[in-house]
Amino acid sequence: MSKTALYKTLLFVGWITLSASPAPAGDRPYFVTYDQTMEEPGNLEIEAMGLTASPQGGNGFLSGVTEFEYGAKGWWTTEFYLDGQTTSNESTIFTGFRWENRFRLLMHEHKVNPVLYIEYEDINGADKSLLEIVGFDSQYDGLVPNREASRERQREMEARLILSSNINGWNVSENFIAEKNLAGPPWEFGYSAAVSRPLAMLASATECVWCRENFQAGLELFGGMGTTDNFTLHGTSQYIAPVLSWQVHNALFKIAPTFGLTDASYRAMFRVGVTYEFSGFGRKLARMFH
Amino acid sequence: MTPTRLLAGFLLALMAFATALITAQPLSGESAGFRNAPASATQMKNPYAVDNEAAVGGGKKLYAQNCAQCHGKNLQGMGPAPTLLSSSLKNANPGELFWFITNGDLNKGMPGWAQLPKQQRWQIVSFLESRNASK
Repeated sequence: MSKTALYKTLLFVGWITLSASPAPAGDRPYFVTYDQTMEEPGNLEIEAMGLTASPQGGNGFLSGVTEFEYGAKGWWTTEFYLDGQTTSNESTIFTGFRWENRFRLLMHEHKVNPVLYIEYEDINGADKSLLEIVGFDSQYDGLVPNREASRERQREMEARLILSSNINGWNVSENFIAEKNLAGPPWEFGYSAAVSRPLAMLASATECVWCRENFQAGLELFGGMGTTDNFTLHGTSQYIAPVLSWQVHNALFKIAPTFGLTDASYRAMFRVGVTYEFSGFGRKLARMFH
Repeated sequence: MTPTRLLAGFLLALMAFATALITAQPLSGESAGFRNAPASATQMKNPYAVDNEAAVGGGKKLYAQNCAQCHGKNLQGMGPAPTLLSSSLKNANPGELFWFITNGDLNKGMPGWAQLPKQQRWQIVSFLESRNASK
């Protein structure tokens, strides 16, 4: 990279950081479930998510995901993820990337709003981000040491049908998930469902940090549904998670203590996330380099 | 049932469901008012008066959070996003404004804001009406 290009890039990063606008109140407090909300066209949203858990008889871990979400069109949002994890008494490793696209199928608001989600994943077996639970994913996957698990390459396609409704301030969303390793069968299935609502429906007239309208609370339920060979809930992981988010200025913070409901599930997990939005990113980028 | 048949059935059911949704009517029927708002939108009443300071103040804050990045801090419009101080807005029915804020125009880059509680969308309508009334 030339000095001029480097200077322009640094200047640009500083500029967009300083010119970040208040984050629109579109983000839900969910970690696994998607709703029908798309990223505003030209906006870039960066999210960092962390998850900590410990499999029974194994080492505890902390996984991290960094997500870059861009509104390509009003009906099309594209996202790029980088995954990594650190496992106590083992190692810290980068586990791969994901590229996701969401397409809103109907242009107007309906009682039920469908969104099609397609994702390509190039991760390895040591990935512990648990952004979805499919097939017979279980806590016992977490017992495999990093050096061994990371040898397993997982190039996968994931598809979701997202159905989402906004009813009297409540959001109700359901995701049906199908995932397949490109190396061969079977298809693995999963689901997630969530409800949430802001703690206040009316916005107060004054700027405030702690007002109730800045908080959203809800509940998320997700788990595996077996494979094409054995479509079942038996032997799968199932989780329930109360979720809470807090919007303050440009950022959204969210937490979800998550509890396993079956023997295959981690007994407990804790998730945190921070989202920061840069509005007009595409427009500023185009202006910078033209 | 073989796995292939199970998967084919699952996909067919999804397609049938998607088709049913696509052919379904939007929340308020068809027609062409302000920005193609349906005639039924004009029947919706704003629960907050334009001189309700709390509602307008809340709407002003919501506008700054959600709309100003495209339409400008002073509603002047920016780039492809039009000004919100115009005769067409002044003449629009509050219900039509509410409908347009809810649905947006995704093909033209205007997102829908159905994720905001309807009370907050009405607050934005009150703020826009107050600014256009005082123009």
